[in-house]
Amino acid sequence: MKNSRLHETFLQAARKLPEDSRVPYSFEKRVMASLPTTNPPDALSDALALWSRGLWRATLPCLALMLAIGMWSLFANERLSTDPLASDIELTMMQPFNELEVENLW
Amino acid sequence: MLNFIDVRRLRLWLAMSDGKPGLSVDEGEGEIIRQIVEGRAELFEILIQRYQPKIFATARKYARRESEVEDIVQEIFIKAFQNLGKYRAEAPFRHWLMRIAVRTCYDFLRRHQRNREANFSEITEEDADFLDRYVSDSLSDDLRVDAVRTLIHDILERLPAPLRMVITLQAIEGKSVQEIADLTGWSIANVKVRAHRARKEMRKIFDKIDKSRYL
Repeated sequence: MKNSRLHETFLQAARKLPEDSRVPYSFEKRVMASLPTTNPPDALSDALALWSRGLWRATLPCLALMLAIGMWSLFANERLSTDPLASDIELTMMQPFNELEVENLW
Repeated sequence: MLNFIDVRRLRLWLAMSDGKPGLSVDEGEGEIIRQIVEGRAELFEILIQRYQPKIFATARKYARRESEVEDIVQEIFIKAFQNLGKYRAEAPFRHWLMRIAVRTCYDFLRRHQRNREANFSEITEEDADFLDRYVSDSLSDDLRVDAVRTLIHDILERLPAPLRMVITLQAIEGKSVQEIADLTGWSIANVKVRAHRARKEMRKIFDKIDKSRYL
């Protein structure tokens, strides 16, 4: 038997087979007994689930954005500031003595 | 709210009223589904009774053992129940249910792919002749039908899950590419590629029998 004819015979046999739609006795009872006890989700809980799934998905991009903005503000401030951090601290620490000297002058 | 008499009437009507004027089957089912979603889970039994023959017939195309078939059908109905809130009645319920059925059967095929190779037995020239006689004869008894069914399962089990799925839906059930795409959730291009590969694989399988005849 040639290959193509064999293929066609196989398909014809498969199409000719009657549908086997036998159902075991009381099968619907078995399915009903195995159903989850909770009701199927209604439209509202469905919408809430969708909303919470969206929020969870937005977590990572928001975190990444927060980090990017934090880094940018840190480096931008560093570039803008003319005095180094050490001189700022020194100025703050010496401020009371500066005021003292001014008072003595008067 | 449906009471007991309403449920009985709906049951009777669903069993007898296909094609009769008045409320259509889809509208009646829509009402049952609404009630189930609102908390009357016991009405789901009506839908199971109505669709279980079709779902059993579908599952038997992919699973051989009766215990596997029953597990698949049960899984299909549980999935349908859990997702009933998502059913929007844009398409008839039977189409929605068949989508769940086909996808569950596909998952089953994929799960059982690993031990696929181990169970092969050679297809002989006699098997091919047996199929030929079955096709040409008009009468066929139950025993013969069972034997042909087993042989067809044997041949189809040599194919990977996606190819078996596409050949069953397209070449045996006669569904269009668009229908297969809707049922499986694959793209149209994917269905076409898999159909082409399935034909090629089938040719390889039958080549072995063809060659064995002349060796």
